[in-house]
Amino acid sequence: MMFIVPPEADESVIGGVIDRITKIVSQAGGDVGKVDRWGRRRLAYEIARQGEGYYVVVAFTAEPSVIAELERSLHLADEVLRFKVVQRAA
Amino acid sequence: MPPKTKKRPPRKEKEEKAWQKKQKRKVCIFCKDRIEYVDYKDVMVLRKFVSERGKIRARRVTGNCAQHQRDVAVAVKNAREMALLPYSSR
Repeated sequence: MMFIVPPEADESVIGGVIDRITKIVSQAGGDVGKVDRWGRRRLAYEIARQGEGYYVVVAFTAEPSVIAELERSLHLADEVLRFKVVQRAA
Repeated sequence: MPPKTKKRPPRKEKEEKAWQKKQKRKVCIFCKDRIEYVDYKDVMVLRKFVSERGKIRARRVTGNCAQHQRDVAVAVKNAREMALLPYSSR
């Protein structure tokens, strides 16, 4: 999955979001794999009046039911501008 | 002899056209490189499949096979959602 936080977000905010994801996934018996921080990147169009965003890609394996819970939680997280969960067939 | 010289030029043209068609035929780059997953995060690759205005290029332009063209379309749409590619520019 991938998510975007505002560019001015500091380490604690980014870490907080990653912790949140890790918690949900591991509670459901899944494994969080690689966390890839792309860092600040120009957005192709503005999101919430932001021209830039901090991109983070998190890979994990878990039961499909985790996705619903993860999406619910991230929709509620105000600090996350945008996120996307993509399923890849193993 | 007049009839012979008249017949020859059109034949040559036909041959040339057939040759041009053969030259134009492209092989799907994903099939060629044995890539079975088109990654929406790989902006550099996807850039090749969208026009200047951000539209997805047609199969007859890209030369992709049906399966991979579909995968590219999905990947571009995912990338647009994550503001990696514009929905429209200009």
